[in-house]
Amino acid sequence: MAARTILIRLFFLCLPALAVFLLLGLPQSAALYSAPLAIVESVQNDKAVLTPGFSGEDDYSAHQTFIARRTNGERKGEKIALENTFTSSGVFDEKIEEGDQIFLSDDSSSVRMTGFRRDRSLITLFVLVLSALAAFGKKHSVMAFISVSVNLVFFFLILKGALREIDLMLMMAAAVLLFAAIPPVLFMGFRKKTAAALASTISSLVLSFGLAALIILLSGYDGIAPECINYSELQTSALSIFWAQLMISGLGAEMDVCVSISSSLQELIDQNPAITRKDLGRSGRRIGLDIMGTMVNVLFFTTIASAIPWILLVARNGIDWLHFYSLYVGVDAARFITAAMGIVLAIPISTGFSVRILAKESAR
Amino acid sequence: MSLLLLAAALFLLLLAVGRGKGLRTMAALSSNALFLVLFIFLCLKNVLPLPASLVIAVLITAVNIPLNCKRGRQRLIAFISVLSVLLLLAVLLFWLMPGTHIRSFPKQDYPGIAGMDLLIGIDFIAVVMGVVLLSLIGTVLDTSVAIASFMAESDRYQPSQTFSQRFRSAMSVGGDILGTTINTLFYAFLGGGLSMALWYTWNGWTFGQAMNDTLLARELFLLLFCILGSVFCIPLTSAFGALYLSRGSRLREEAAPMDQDGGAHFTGHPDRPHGKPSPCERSGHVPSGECRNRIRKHRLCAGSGEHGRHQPSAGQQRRGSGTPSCPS
Repeated sequence: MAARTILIRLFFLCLPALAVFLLLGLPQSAALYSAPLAIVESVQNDKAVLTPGFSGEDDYSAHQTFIARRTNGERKGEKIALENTFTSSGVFDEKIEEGDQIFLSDDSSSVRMTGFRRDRSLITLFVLVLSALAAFGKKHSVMAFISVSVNLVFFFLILKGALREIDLMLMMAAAVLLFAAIPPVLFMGFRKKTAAALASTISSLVLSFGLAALIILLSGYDGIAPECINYSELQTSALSIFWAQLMISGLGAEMDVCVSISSSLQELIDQNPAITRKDLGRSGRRIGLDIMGTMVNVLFFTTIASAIPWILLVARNGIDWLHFYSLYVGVDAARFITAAMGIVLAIPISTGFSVRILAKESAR
Repeated sequence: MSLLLLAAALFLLLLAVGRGKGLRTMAALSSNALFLVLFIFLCLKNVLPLPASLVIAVLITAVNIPLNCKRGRQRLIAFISVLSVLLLLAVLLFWLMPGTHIRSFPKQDYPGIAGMDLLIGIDFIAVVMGVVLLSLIGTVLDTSVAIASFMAESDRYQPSQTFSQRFRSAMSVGGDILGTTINTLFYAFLGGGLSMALWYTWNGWTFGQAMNDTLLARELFLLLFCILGSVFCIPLTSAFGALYLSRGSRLREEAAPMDQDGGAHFTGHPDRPHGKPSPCERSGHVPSGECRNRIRKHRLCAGSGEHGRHQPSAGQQRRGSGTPSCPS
């Protein structure tokens, strides 16, 4: 037991160590990028000018000139002067600070800044998360980490497939089966309860997706505006992206409910082989209901809150955002509701499957 | 219209499956939606977004915890720990966020922004920080409530544990919860990130390029922060809960047997583990905290006290083994 705990800690500690190594290496690693990079050495801010916008609210804009030194490429070490304008609201601009690393685009005539280098901040955060996991994580966290990594690989393959114009919906449906199978197997091994969890995950997913799809199709996408999830280049397949998103969003939560219910019921059967099906059913429902409330909340906040910046921008432009909510939260709300329905449906479904599959085993 | 129908279907399902609990989940969801709208209105009224988001997060916590926890001690532990985690994360956010330069809309959103006036007089870096805080409040609540339930529940059956016993068992339960949280969050973000990922793929971006882009950087930042929120909950909730409960039990030991300071909370005797089910269990109101994994087993065992009347020996046996994490 102790040895296993140590192994888990080691697993998570290796990753931060690697990341720290990367982090220390990165400042010198401008050569990793083929795009020209530069580091901002000095910034001079002009006086901010009051420029009220359309809404009449005070906003300031300021012009800044800064000197950056190239850190890679043939002209490494060369200094260039660039300029930037930013506003105090910063809806679509960023303020340059000393020490920022920036990407440049080299045309024959002019040099432009194309974006910030953000990998270091992200890696810092990643290291923080991994070390926290190393400190508090257990076997489940390692497994979750592994399954997430494996699934990311599959996700990457889907993206590659999309590039070859394989139907996104089909690929997603196939991937969902795989995605649904990996974590239960990792968490619980090849056992009967794994089969129960897998069967119930998939059926609750299919049922909630089917129900949501039925409602959405019957009401003609009214209030959802799937075309808005897309960035302009992708207009053609907006709908299939929307459906694929709907399919996958609730998967993790449903899996969570199903794995919890089936493993706990197995536990109950192990402890008391004489337990009746009725008691099992009651316990399963209770376990599910306990997780349901807060889990629905998790999905709610993570999917809906990101629409806030849009709504603020739109509202300040004098557009009645409550009226046009569908453009900004429609897809996210549909995603959330489908996932939440999946969580709720997973409770009776996985209780049913677990009782059926597991109780049979104990009866024998 | 579609959304209304979907919401109606969700509410019907919640009621059908969860009844009382479903009703409470509905209440929590509606109030959470109202709180997000309130945040928007506060921002539009030029209240500073970051303090506003903190206040709203506290309000959300105050409304959601009573709806998800049944007992007073559990509520208090969860509430205090959520607040401290929020504060900690806000500080961390303040430190990490500016260097990341993710306040502005990503350039992929330009078609939607084109033609709009961008001088809106709201500081977007604060807005995005507020959005991060509001995104992770659900996760923090989830983890914290689960651990608090476990601790309160475990206290009912083994009230005489020491601080370190409680702390260790709660940390262990927290570690289990973390795995499932990561899973849930990952797919929630994967769903949202699908169109983004497709955009990068179709435009031939490499991962290195994409990671430095506002859009992906922002999503990753949000995901990592949500996980971090959940992770921070584990030691903080465990420590606070252990502190609070051990203090309670010490009081009880001193004042026993006539201590009724905690009223209904302290229905158990120190030797309760193998005692009779408490009145609330018998009435079927199993204090099913909102727990997971180990807690769940634990409570199940507790819960089966109500069936335990039919199979007393099994019930006791289960109750005894129901707290594998509590060294006895």
